[in-house]
Amino acid sequence: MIIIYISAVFIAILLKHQERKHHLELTFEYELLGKRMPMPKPKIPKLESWLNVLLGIFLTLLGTLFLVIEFIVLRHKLPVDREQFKFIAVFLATGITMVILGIQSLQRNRQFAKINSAQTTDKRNPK
Amino acid sequence: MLDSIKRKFLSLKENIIILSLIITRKENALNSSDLTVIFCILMYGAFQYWRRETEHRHTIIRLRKGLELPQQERKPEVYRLWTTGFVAFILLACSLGALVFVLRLGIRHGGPYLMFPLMFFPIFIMLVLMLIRDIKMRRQRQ
Repeated sequence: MIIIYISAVFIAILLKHQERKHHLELTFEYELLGKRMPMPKPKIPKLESWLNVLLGIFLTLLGTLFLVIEFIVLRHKLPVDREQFKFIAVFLATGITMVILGIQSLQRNRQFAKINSAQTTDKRNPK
Repeated sequence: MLDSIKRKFLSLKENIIILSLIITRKENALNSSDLTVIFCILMYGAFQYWRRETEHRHTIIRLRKGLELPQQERKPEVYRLWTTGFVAFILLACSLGALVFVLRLGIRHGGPYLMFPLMFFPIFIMLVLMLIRDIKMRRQRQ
């Protein structure tokens, strides 16, 4: 199981590194052309970001529910399967991550919309 | 002070040794399904890396030629509409099923089952909104 996590983390780090490299190269190219680099379009649209947040809340609630059930079982001194805690941890971690990513994406969408609206008003009312 | 802080954290070498010990434990031995998952993750990563690299190369070439960059607009495919609709339908069916179950059992005994429609319904509404938006976009294109 741990090697699966390690391979997934490795891929995530590699792709993030590639993204940063591309961003740097593009900025450099725009600098050479003497232009200002436009803000990249958010990867996840607004509605999908909200869906991300909702699914994250759903998974977190489910994880919390299972955790409460485990504690109730422990309180009554009944045998508990320790493997269950692994799944609860995965549920909680995935849920919290999805909520955080969804909120970040929403903020990015808001920024993009703000900049876009400012640009359109500039085009409509040129000085 | 620094020494006491350092003592609390393991060095990189110690971390690597512990990780290798965990990996080589009998309980964590890899089976064929684990290897398949790892292979799929690595293949996905390699494909994504190649796709992004190719796209980036084309962007740089276009920029150097002075051409305008193509606007990346979403193209809602038919299969996407069907899957969204299907998932929305399943969520609605689950919510209604849980509601019927609660009504038959009574609030006192079946109350906790109300949690499912409460959790599924917002996701269902979001999926319906996405479906409406995608259908509108597709009609505009046509």
